[in-house]
Amino acid sequence: MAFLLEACSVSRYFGGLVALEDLSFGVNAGEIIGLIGPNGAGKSTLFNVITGFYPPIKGRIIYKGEDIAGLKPHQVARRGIVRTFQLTVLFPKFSVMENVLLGSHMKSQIWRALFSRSGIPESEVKRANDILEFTGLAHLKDHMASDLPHGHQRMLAVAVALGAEPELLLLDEPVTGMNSDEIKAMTNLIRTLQKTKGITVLIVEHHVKTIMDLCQRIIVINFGRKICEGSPDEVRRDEGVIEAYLGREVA
Amino acid sequence: MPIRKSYFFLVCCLSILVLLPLFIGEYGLMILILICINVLLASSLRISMNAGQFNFGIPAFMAIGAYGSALMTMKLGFPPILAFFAAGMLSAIVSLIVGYPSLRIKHVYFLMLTLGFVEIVKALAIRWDSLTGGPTGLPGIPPFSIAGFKLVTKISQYYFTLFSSLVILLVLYRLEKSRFGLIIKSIEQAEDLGETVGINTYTYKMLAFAISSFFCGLTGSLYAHNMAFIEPTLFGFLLAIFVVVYCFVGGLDNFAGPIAGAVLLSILTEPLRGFQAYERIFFAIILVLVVIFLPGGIISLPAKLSPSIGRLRCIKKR
Amino acid sequence: MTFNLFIQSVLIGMNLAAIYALMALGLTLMFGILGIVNLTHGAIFMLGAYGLYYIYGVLGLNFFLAMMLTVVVLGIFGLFMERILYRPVDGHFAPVIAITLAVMILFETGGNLIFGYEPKGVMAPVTGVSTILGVSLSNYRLVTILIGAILVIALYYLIHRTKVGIAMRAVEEDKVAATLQGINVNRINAIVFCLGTGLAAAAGAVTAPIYSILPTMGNLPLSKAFMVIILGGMGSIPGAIVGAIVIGLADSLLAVTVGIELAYVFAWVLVILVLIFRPRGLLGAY
Repeated sequence: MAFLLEACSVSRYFGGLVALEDLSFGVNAGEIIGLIGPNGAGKSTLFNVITGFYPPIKGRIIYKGEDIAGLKPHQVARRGIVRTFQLTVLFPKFSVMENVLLGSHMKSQIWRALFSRSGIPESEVKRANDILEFTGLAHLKDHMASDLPHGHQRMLAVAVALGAEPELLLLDEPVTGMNSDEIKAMTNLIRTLQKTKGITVLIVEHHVKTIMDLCQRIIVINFGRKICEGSPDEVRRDEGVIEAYLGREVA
Repeated sequence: MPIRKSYFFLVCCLSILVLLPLFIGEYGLMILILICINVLLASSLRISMNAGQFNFGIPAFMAIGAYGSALMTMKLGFPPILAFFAAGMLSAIVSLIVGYPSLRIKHVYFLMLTLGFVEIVKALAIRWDSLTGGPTGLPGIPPFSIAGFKLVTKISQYYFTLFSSLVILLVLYRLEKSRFGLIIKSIEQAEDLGETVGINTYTYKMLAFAISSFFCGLTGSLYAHNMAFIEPTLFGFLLAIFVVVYCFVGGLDNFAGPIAGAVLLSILTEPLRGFQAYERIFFAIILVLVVIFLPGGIISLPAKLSPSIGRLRCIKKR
Repeated sequence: MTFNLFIQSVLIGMNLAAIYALMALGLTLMFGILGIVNLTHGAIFMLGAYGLYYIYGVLGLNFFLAMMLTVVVLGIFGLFMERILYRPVDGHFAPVIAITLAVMILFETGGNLIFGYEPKGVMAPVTGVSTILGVSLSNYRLVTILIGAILVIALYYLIHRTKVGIAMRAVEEDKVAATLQGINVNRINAIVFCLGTGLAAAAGAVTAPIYSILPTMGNLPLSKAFMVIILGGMGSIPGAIVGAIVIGLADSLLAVTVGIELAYVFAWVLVILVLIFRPRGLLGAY
């Protein structure tokens, strides 16, 4: 079965700094894949390259058979790949509802957007409400995004991404700064996304337990190179990985 | 019931505006026409500012509209109403040309390029005197005519300007409240996030700029055919500053902000007309005071003074 | 165009380049390190010229002394400007633009009221011409170019060889990290303001003997400086210098051939064209 997303020998440099070097891996549809590595390993750079914030210097990124390397971010999003950011990025002056509505605007053409003076159509409002229910934010929908506590903001970021109806969701450290209840909620959400909506998830995370619980496969990178790939157990026991990253917190 | 209150307020204002000519003379009506012009300029700037663009090019597009409309009627024989819309389109098209390279890069560049553009347009207006009348200006611009009836009297011009302004403001308001307006405002807050969910921010920035310029062009045409005379120094850097000040002082968070700012400052500086230096100093001081002490602008005063309105505004969707 | 005219235009172009470079360097430093666009720069230029007029022209002090005094006084004023313009709004872009706009208007209008509307002039300290390659060139313009070059080299030395310069570059890279290293960012900001203002003042002072001194004289150098940094690249010092030379020469040669207004148009169009192909400017980093 062909990969949904495949990175082929992707390299990215910034001047003399090697961010990604000859990186290759594949993601199957319906999987939850973890991407881990020490700080500065290149994880966020990989996300930026996949989603078009800057192109790879070498290599290809194949999504559903098409090489998407070098496309602009909104073009990548329209093909079904949506990401979240490591630092919480929301529309601070908008309400929670408006934030999620922005995501669904991808589906509209510009001209319809311009001349649709009757506000936002019912179907979109309903879809946004569904997403808010799904992510547990419905009771906050009229609050300003910047007023939300940190954990809710990170959940909102995922809700915004869901508004764009992704097939492949790239989550950049979704549970950073969350307490254990919030982490449980996020983990359940990701699992539900996989099961009920068939969304493929590629997740970067430092929180080891989350990665081990959620992911079918884990890819480990360090210094921009892939150093291991396999099931959580395989990765846990790999010498190179232990040395580079996991340290003592294994069992 | 804040919504009912603002409708009531609007109706009152409208009635006053319609009945005003009964009480004030020709000079007063001309001032009112100029206030309408200022309001339109400020509201046009608002669209750009909503998208996070510091559009200092407003006077340039007004100039293109003014000269375009005047020349279309005087040299090409267009009926003024047609020239009115054509001038708007002309400004919009020019803005697309200017915007094409300028909106792909940091907004700082855009600011400076639009500033430069104002000087360019002014320089062209001065230099191309065979077309534009040069530094001495272009006199004898024909007035608007509706169904053969020429709008020569100040009263007729006032009502026409008022009517046009209201229509334009209505269009701008609907634009802002629409899906389009939402997307535009998202660009100012988190452009990367918009891109991430599939919004082509470059296209929307171009559209915002073009729409802003379109209405500036219309405003220029309104000015030209009502005042019958235009000259290059009208459309200079100082006008750009004034319009920006209207927006800042009025408040950028609310549609009515630039309107309030334009009206208030135009009225307040009326006694200073002719004392250019003091007028400018007044502007400068008000600007600094507002920026430091009242960042939301004048329009945020009601919310600050009355806690109940403030609380309602917090939760209500904007 | 005769050879004579060409060489003279090149000289004037380099003269303009020196002035534009001084203005542009201050602006690009402020953008790179402080993240703001300082619209008061033109007004400072104007004050530099008036400062020279009063200290050298009216009081009769030695030219170079007068220039140094003007630059130092306005530089110190720059320290205060950081306090009034930048800190009250935490250096956020939009409010700073608004405030610098206001201050610019205040300075210009104040200048009109205090100095009067009639243009003033001063005599150059060095007069006469030198003959190079058979062409007579104004001595003072040559001196101007020299002063410009000296200041640029001094700036380079400051930024790359002194501790303060390193601190400035650290703040430019990452403000938070710089703070964690013990750098007093507020102090660096003040120094950058002081530096930028001093450079603009120097540009104005050095220009005073060449053109007539008016309260509005700062506007054109400001817009030219903008063109220069866009062309050369925001935040790039070599870019500012290269851009200044290009725009200075273009201005001078075009002014002689097609007239001043069209020269302005061409310069702007040139910048736009460069932007289409190199969105970050010739040597820019952003």
